[in-house]
Amino acid sequence: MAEHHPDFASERHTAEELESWLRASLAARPAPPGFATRVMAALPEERGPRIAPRGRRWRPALRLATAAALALSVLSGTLWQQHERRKAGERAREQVLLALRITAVTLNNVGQKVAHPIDNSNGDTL
Amino acid sequence: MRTDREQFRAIVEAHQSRVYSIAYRILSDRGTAEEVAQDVFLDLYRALGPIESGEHLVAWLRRVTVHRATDALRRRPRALHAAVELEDWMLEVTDAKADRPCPLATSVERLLLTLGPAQRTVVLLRYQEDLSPEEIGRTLAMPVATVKSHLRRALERLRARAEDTLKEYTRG
Repeated sequence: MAEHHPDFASERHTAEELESWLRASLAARPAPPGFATRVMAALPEERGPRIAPRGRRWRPALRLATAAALALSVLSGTLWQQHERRKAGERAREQVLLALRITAVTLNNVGQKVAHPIDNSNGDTL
Repeated sequence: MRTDREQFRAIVEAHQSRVYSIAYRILSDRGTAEEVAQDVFLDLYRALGPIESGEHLVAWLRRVTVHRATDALRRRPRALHAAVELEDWMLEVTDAKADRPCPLATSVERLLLTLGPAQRTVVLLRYQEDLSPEEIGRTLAMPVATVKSHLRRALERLRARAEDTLKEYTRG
């Protein structure tokens, strides 16, 4: 070791010598015994798995399926509502047409009665 | 095939000395240095994914160790510094079973304590880790001119103090 400690009392020692003395003296110290074992014991039980667990792996597909089912149910609901509205419209149209037909027949009868009043004396009717 | 844990243990064993030395020489306290070194490796375990290469790993370990040790130094009450340093000094002297470095290295470590934390860290990275001022600047996020200035002042101070220490050592 004696060769590693130059006499700094002397002015001969330059900055380079001080530097080489520091390099020689500052070698890495050994870690305390059992250090690696203590580090390993302090680690969490399982390293965060790179592959997601089974449940988590299916989660995106499940989300997609749920979204698709939701969209399908909204779409079918909308179509069913449109279909119902169309059917109601058609029923109303038929009712209006029926009412118009009845009105037309009634008016026709009334018109004929007005044109050929009942001959009460002969007992003839239209 | 080796498991993640086995691979990680190999990394710890390969770098524990470097990490512990940096922490110890910044803190001069075995207990806190070991805690800091453990925390660094636990951080590494969580951050291992993005580490790209051996060089990246070493640079990461240096940077995180320096930051964690400096934080620990700041958190430690000032009055505790002297007590902890004295205790460690006594352990160095009396603990025959300890894997002690040579007395000269211990003297250098004592001398490092006369430097401020920034100068001490720069000296460690320069002479223990053999980094250039540019690499030290990158590690500490510090301008190269500041690194060089810290180094120059630290060497002046060490040179002045080393005279007495070495005289004592050579007499012993």
